Parts: sequence; C-alpha cells; structure tokens
Amino acid sequence: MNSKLSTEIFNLLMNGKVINKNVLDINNDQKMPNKYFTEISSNIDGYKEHYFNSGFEFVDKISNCFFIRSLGEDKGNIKIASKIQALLIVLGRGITQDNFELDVMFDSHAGLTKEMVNKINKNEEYRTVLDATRIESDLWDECKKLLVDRQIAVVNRSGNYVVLDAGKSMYETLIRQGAEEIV
Amino acid sequence: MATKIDAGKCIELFIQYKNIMFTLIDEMDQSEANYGVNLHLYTSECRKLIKLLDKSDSAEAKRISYAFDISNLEHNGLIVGVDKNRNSNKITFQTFFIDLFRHLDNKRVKSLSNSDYETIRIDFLALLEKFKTIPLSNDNPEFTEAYETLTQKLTDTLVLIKRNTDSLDGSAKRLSEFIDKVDGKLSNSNSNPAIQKLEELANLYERKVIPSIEFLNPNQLIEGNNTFVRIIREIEDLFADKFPKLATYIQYRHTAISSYHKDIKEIQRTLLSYYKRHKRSRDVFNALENVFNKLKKETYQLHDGKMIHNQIPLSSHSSVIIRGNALKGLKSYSNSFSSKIVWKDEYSVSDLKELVRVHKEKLNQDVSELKQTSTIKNDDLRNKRLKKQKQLRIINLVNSLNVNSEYFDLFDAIHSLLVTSLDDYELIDSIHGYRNFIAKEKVKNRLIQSQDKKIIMLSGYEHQYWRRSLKENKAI
Repeated sequence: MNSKLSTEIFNLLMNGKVINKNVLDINNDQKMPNKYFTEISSNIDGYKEHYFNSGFEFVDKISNCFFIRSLGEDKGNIKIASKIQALLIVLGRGITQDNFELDVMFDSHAGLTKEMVNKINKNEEYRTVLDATRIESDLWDECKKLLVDRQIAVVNRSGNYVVLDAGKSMYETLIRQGAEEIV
Repeated sequence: MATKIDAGKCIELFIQYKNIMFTLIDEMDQSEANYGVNLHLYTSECRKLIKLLDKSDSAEAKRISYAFDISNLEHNGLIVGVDKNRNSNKITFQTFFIDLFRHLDNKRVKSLSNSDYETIRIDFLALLEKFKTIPLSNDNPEFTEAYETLTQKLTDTLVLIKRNTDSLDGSAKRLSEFIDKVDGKLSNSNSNPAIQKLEELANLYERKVIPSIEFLNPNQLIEGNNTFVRIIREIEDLFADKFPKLATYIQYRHTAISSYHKDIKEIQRTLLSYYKRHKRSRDVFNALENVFNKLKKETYQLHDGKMIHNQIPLSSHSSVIIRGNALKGLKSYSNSFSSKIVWKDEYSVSDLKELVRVHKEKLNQDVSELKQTSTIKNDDLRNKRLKKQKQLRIINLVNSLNVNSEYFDLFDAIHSLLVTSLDDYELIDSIHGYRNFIAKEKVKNRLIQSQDKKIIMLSGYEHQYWRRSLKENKAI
C-alpha cells in the first residue's frame, strides 16, 4: 500500500467522492488511467480491511469505480444516491430525446454542454420530475454538486461535463432495468 | 394558347436540368408514393430554376417555362394526371419518365421491396404449376408459350435484381458517407442529424437488404416452402431429363441472378456496423424512456396530497430512484471545521482578511524559524501589512458612523471623519471608506444622487465627485 496515495485516497473517499478507473488528462481531454484506482486495485483486500476497521464498507460492486459508505448504510442513507440516480435518468432521457446518443455524455471531447442542460431544465415535464426528487432549480449547478464534486463527472477543456466510469456504470444498470421491463 | 414544346425537346430539357427531377424523386421516395409527386414542390422548383436562368439567359428561362408547364407535359403525355385537390395535390408522371431519371443516378434507382419479391415468386410459381400440368413437349404450343414466358421472366428478374443491387449499393454508400461526415462534426453541433440518417439506414437494412438476401440465398435447404430459388430448381429438375439444354439455360440464368447474393451480402456487411450502432442507440433510447416514464408516473402520483412537498419519499423502496441504486449509502461531505465560525455581519470581510493575514504571517514565521535562514527584511511585505492595517482602521472608523442617520453629503462626512481621525490621512482613504460604507445593505437603498458636483482638495491632490446624500432610515 502506497502511504502517500492511500492518504490522498482517504481524503477523496471521506469527502464522499468516488474513484473512477479513468480520469481526464487536463492537457488534451484524453482519458487516462486513474492512479488511485490502480493503487486500490492492486491492494483491494488491504483497503477493504482498512476501511472496515474504521467503520466503513469499501464498495467495489459498481464496475470500474470505488467508494465507501458507513457500515449498514446500504439500507440507510439514500438521499444523495437517489438524487444522483434521478439526475442521471433525466439527463439521459433529455439528451436521447434531443436526438443525441447517450455516448455524447461519456465522450471526453464532447460531454454535456450548458446549453443541453438548460434546455432540459426548461422542459416542464423534466422539471416536475426534478422537483419531486429534490433537485434544485439551477440544474447546471446541481450537476456540478451531484456529479462533478463527487467525481461521477468531470469538466473538460470546453467546460462541458463528461460523465466518468461511475456514471456510465449507473447508466448501464438503468438501461438493463429499463430493457428488462420492455421485454 | 400557350406555346407548346414537343416531347423530345421537353425530355432533353428535363435531362439538362435534372436536379429538379432528382429533388422530386427524393421527395417521392421519402413519402413512399408511386410516381406521384407533390405539385407544390414541382411548381416551386420550376419557378426557382426559371428565376435563376432569367438573370443570365431570359430566352432559356422562357423556353423552360413553356416546356415545364403542366399543360405542355399533359399535351406530350409525360404525365398521367394532375390532382389539384387540396388534400392530395399530386402530379403523376409516366413510369418510364421517372425510371429514366432513376437510371441517370444510381443512388435513386428504386430498390425492390418485399411485395416486389412476392410478385416475382408468384409469377414463377404459376409457371411451375403450369409446367407440372401440361405435357412437356416441343409439339405442345402451350409448353413453348410457357417456356418463352419463363425465359422472358428470367431475363426481367435478372435486370430487376441487378438494378436493385445497384440501388442498394448507392443508397448504402450515400447514407454511410453522410453519417461519417456528420459524426466528424458531432462535438460542435447542437443536434445530431446522423440519428435520422441512421434511422433511414436501419430501414434500408431491414426492409430492403435482408429481404434481398433471403430472396436470393442460394444455400437454401432442398425441402421447404416454395421460395424463388426452390421454384427455379424444381423447374430445372422438370426439364433435366427431356430438355437438358433448356435446363442448363435456366440454370445459367438462375446462377446469374443468384450471383447478386454475394454483392448484397457485401452491402450488408457495410451496413451492419451502422445498423448495430443504431439498434444499440434505439435500445438505449427505449430503455431510458421506460425508466423515465416510471419516474414520471411516480412523480405524478404524488399529487394525491399524501406526500410532503410533492417529493418522492425516500422510504419508497420500490421507487426507480432507489431500487437497484448502486450508490446507496454514498458518504456525505465531511465537514472540515469542528465548529462553525460566526462572523459579525458588519466587519466580516475585513475580519476574515485580517485573520488570513495573521495566519499567513504566522506561517511565514514558522517557515523562517524552521529554516533559520531568512534574515532579509521584506519592506514590501511590511508596507503591504501596514496598508492592510490602515484599511482595517478606515473600515472600523467608517463603521462607527450611524447608518440610520441622514447625511447631506455622504462623501464629505466620511472625509471629515477620517481627516480628523487618521494621522497619515490621504484622499484615497476616503474613497476606500466611502465604498465600504455605501456597500452596506441598509445604505444602498437610501442613497440619493444629486447633480451637485463637488471638489475636495488635499495636499496637492483633488477629488471630484457628484454629491450623494443619505436619507434618514424611517423604518427604525
């Protein structure tokens, strides 16, 4: 276990951030491997034990990302997770209905533009759903708070939000859910 | 009576300005009409062309206006009819005329549909049934007649399949080129027209390419339904004993028709990646729509008055935002401060600045003590610090003014206060103090701007300003 990296990882996880497999290179918007993810992957058992002894569950069930939650919280604290899920559903629906492919959100050179987000926010139907899920009126800012500040998304050089592995995995789960119900 | 232009010249002009017909054919294919063209579109396209030509060659423009006139087209038999009914509003061209332009551009050749294939299959099935019921002999005129029909049908089918293959190839190329071009610009565009083209491409794949492959598939089992390939094989078998030469001829034709299977397979391979991509994005769209609709349903159910603030309750475990949520229990932000700092409203900014300054100074001291090397006096830093301290004194003095009172000339009041309180007073200090004072919430709304220009002089400097007075705060 690398003590320097593990300290930095500790600070990230304790601040409610997730650690993605890939991050963005700020110089060229290319995706590159996340050193924290690599560090954890090489010592996953050590990290799990370490956080377990500190009263946290080290979650590795979502593909390509890690985060922590207090022991027993999987049935408890849902406030933030539910907001994130609702936001992703609305954003995904909004951009696919606007004739974009969902992959635009994951493309490090494209991403979600402010224009797209504001357009979604102006839609009455989406806004009603967002209100019912406790997402506030400034959707661009809410995206920052819920996605960027938690490293589910990142801001690229064009100032757009690019959804990272954690968000992508959540979308995969949602799409599976949606597809199962269609069948 | 309008001048008439003969059919030959008319067709020649249509070919010369073929873009009109290409536009009409595209519109016709999009609306899946058979030889019927939107009358408005035709007239507007003609007008556009005439207007364009009129600038350079008015005689040619006139000729076009006569030639392309509907009565002239009717006179020359190039159109079958005109339906000016508001709902239909169509002009129907002769089939040969439309087909002529389709052949001028491969991309616009009409490809065969399922019903076309079915017609071909039924024709051959009827011939097979006939050959089964009549004696197969050259002396039998019924046989020779049926055989002639068969050879003619085989030739026609070969031509149709060839044209169909060209058409599919042209359409596939046109669509894939367009999609690739649009994809290149994707990140800069506001919407994605490639999706629409992908939809067209998926239609082409499902409705044209797949039926063509199935129709021509040479690797069909011997037993089974009466497909085109099986029918031809059966006819070959019927002739094999008595007329081996005829059987061989049919076999050659059959092989020639089936050879296009390979070409269409090639087109299929080109389209497959696009088709898969489209299918994937369509599946994603449907799945997300489904999830969103569930969420929307939950939201609208809230209006029954049971829920607080119309928000989906977090106790509802079946909710789409909770069920299967992998981020359940994600930590909240940890608070870096053990206790909250309460700032006094009036002095918050200056207090914070002072706190940061002291902290930074302390940090600098710590570093210098640790290294024990810094003996150089930093005059700049000292000056800066003194300046900050002075600013803080100004703010404190200005804050001592009663914000609720009335002031005739606010700047002058601040100037008078500072000039008497500060030893090293400069005019700029009043400006700092004034700015700080008028920024207060209580003051902002009570300021009255006058047209009075004032000048204050001090040690060779002068400050000019428009007098502002402060009303008394009657709310107190």
